[in-house]
Amino acid sequence: MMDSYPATEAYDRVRQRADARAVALFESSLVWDMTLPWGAPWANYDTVIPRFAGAGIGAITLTVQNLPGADLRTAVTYVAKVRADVAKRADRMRICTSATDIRRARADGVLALVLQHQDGTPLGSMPEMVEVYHALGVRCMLPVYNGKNMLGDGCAERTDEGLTRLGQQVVREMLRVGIIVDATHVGVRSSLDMAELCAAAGKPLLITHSNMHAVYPHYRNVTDEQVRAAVATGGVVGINGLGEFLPDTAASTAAMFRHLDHLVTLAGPEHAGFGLDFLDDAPRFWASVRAEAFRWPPLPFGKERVDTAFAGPEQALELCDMMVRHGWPDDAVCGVLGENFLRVAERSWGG
Amino acid sequence: MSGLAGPTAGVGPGASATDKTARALTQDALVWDNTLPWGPTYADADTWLRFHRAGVDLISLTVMGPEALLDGTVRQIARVRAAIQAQPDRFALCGTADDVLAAKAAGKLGLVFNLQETDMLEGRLEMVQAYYDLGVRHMLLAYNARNHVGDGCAERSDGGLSRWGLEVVAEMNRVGMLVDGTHTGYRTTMDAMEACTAPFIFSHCNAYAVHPHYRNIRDDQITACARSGGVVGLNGLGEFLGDDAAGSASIFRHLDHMVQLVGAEHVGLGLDYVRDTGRFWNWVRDNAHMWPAGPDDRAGSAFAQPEQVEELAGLMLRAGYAEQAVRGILGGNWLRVARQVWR
Repeated sequence: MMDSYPATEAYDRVRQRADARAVALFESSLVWDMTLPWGAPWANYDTVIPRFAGAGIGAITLTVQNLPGADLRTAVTYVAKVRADVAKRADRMRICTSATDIRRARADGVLALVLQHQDGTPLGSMPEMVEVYHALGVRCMLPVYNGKNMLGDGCAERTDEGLTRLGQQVVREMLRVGIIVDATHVGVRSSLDMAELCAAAGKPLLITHSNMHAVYPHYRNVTDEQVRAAVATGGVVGINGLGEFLPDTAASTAAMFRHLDHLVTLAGPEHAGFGLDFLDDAPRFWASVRAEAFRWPPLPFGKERVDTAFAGPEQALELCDMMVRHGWPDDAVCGVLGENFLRVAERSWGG
Repeated sequence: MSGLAGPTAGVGPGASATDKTARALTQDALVWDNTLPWGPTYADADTWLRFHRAGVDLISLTVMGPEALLDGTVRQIARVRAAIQAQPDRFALCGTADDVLAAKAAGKLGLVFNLQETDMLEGRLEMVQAYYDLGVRHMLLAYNARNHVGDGCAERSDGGLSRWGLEVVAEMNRVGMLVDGTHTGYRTTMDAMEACTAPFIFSHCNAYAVHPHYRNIRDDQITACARSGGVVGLNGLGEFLGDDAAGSASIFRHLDHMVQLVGAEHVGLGLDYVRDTGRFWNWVRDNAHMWPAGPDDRAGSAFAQPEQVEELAGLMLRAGYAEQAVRGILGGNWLRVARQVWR
């Protein structure tokens, strides 16, 4: 826990119910949430950040993009704004661009933030822009969000044609400059194309916030084949806390654990983590989903879409508690909480 | 080129001892050209190598000038960064004074970026830091015409720095980006120098007292710049020199005026070399609002060539400048302000 962010009441309530060993382990570990949407509607430094940090989350990957399909100008100015926002709070948080930065932030008791892009449209079809975003601090990027763009097909598209030539160039450039290649939201073939490029470069492929298709066949969840391809590169998959993908309207920890357990059984605990994908303003998100049916087609089994909850940061400790109660060894639990991401980040980023 | 025909052109068998000293000094000293236009229509790879062969160790590339916004500027920066990184054995993108010295020590051409306008901030103060992080180390406030920050040097009016302009200067100071008064209106530069808390520069300007062109700067601007600890870079564009051939002797007249006025430690080079001069002059003619008539008929003058740096060194030596003074003017003075201001 950090001095500048006291434990929240919600966290304390979870803490009281949790196994003492789980609490001790949780509070002494690096806890890294691999995805927190941080576009203008979601970014709130006074409510969301204190809630996460006050629930023991020490590192957060922020999606610094308003919407998929954003233009270059919008994306660059938004990254600049988030950097300025964070710089104004330098005593409590900092943007990290290396594994060393994350360790140092933790040692200094400040929140570690990592910048991520979901969708490659802001590259403006220029592979050279990958290095520009890298210079601005972006360290994780996925090429295409659900639909189709100039880089490839997304997971909700009618077709599944893999990466385009430009998409291959962009992924190679990400690998060259040291940006984590993320296969979340992309189509199956795109992700396998990405795994091939990562393997050729000797770098891990990550899936930062996706659940298991074998547990629930939502198009946003990843198949065992995709998981194996990522794991073969040394990658890590982050379990998502969005109710619709679990599926569980309440987005309970038990539902998340089912996906985590499948992932760990399939791939081993050193290839698992979590990327909660938490949204403060759920109604706004569900309205955007309904307004963009092309990006969010119908659910499996003709299931009707309901406005599900999003797992909150306090559930990270619950997840830890569940792992401990299931008898997972300490190092496996620490890995899932954040050490696995730190390991692959170090390999992706270099240094 | 006509500009090459200077008093010390060519160090052949008949070259004087001064010529040889000038050549040795140009090769040995840190030589820093603080302005080379490098927008999308200016960039060509041969030019970098030519400058490097002429003894230039560090070039500040104007990655974007007027008539551009954020999108085009960031894209051009992306292209230029990629071009530099494609040849890491020859070129080095520099961010600090130490980077500049390391590049020279490694025999590489060092490069930094500048912007000749503030339009590409698009009203967002936080873009100053973003451009800085992408390699921009100086930015001039207004290019000839008026913008949100203030008036340019060729504008009808000269009302000084805007409220937003004051914020831009303060943010540049906070970030460590040099504030550049080139192309900017007189009052606007005087206001900016008053507001600026760091050494202020004119990256590529000549002396109005020597040739009364609106692109040149007055003695009190030069004096205020020197008082801030800053440097004025000599421009090699014939029209501003008052010499359509852009001869080294003409550059030296402006240089010597400034040295006599404020001392050698406040003078440097910002040659402003353009390869495709025809295209440049056509652009000037098409943009009369930015380029009104100067004191003379516009003749489509020549631009000083990078090889003239050596000629200039020779002229300074012949005029009795101390070696240390010459080294400062060739690049040491820019290095000093970079060390003070860049982070």
